[in-house]
Amino acid sequence: MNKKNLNSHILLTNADRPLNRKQFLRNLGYSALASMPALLLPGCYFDLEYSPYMTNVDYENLNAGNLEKIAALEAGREYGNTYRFGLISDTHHFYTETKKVIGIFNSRSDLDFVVIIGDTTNQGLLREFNWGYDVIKKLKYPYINIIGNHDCLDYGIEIFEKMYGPLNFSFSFLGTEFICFHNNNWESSEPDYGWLAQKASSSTAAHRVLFAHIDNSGCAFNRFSQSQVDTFNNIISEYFDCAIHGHAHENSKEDMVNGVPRYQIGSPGYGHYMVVTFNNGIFEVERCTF
Amino acid sequence: MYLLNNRCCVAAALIITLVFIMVDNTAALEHNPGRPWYIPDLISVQTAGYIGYAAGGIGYLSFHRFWESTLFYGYVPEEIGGREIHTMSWKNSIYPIRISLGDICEISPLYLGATFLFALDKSVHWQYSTDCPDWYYPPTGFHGALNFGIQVLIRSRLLEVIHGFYAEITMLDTYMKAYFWDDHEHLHFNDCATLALGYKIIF
Repeated sequence: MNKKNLNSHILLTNADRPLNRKQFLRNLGYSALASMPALLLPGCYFDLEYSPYMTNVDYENLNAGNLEKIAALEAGREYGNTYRFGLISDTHHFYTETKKVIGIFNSRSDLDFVVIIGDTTNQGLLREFNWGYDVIKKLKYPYINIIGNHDCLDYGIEIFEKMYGPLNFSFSFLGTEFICFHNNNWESSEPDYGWLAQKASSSTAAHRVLFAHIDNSGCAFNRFSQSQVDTFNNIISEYFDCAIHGHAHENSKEDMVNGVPRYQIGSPGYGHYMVVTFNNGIFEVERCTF
Repeated sequence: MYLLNNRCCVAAALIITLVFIMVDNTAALEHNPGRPWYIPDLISVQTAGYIGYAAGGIGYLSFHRFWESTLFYGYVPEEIGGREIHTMSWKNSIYPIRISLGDICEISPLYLGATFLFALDKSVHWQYSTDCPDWYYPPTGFHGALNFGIQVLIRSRLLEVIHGFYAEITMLDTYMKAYFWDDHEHLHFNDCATLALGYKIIF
């Protein structure tokens, strides 16, 4: 194929006729008129996302703000009074189902707060954190979010720390110390069992509850060494009334480890959530499905 | 296994690209028949579409500009992205429809493409703890994306080059899964896709 034949297939290279200035400007105008709407209209509907790895959060320290609201709920109530909280975990991309659970919680008037036990994302991407937040912000109750293994992927830890706050933290409510522990070892570093033991041992609360995304007594997928499992179990049996986990996606039956009950909360994606009531010094767990 | 599969896919696509470039290098044939096949046919800059706040790359054309392959380096400054981000992206597009507007302008009202995105940062995991089974997560330092868009080409007689302007909608693999498989009811298309704008010069 010689150059002339080849060029007959190619629109922009077969213009052998010279253009005068008027023709050139006319063609340029036509081109601009034809292309501008198609180029600019999508800008009204779509955002510009420069990278999936961005970490510039729109909301900061959400847990801290909610902990202030939880603390305010103690006003006028005495330690040991009955209280109740809802539990969700592993919401991942199950937004429709999570909205149903939130609707159920919002239709009740007897909850004090809600705890989300991690995995509000699949790959720890900023956009996923924002999608999750857009759903859980509809809760009428104050809530706290704990980091899950999927939230640690990519720059998820950095985003979580900016958006929700520290990975390990604690708060107290009506005489119970709730300790929230980051134990996603494959996706991060060795869990800080020293911090957990120190926090639990220094607590003067009458009761202690542990929230951690992964129940490492079960050695899920051999995540934890026997030494880590023993350390975790010993801390829990020594200091805690009960431990509550997510990760498994299905509500579990009560699992007693060294005499301390352990619970796994299922995912809204599987129609599961839980409600815990503290009444007369006992934690009563209601495993719910929808 | 995920990593292996992804590497195989990328390697296969790379081989096909090289074959295409060698078999039919359009711009070289059109403008400079003596130009070696490995000399790029275009330079492109783009913003957004996951490949960077500012991304620049070189590309090749084959089969009379029906197919285009461009390798981009992308950068997001800390002020924009929350942290400094460096990526390499390999973008392949086909232009099945092309409409001429006069003899200096050509519009491709719909082109289709696929992009492979690589994070140039060790802290983005390619592989996890050695204890973690390789099937447990896909490698997050690598993403795929699909895109479609519109392109306008304008020939500059003065500079003997072709200017290209394009706008495209891009959807990342993770967001595609969320939208098409996980929760089509809650998520909207524009929640899961992004706009990209770019300019290229074909010489």
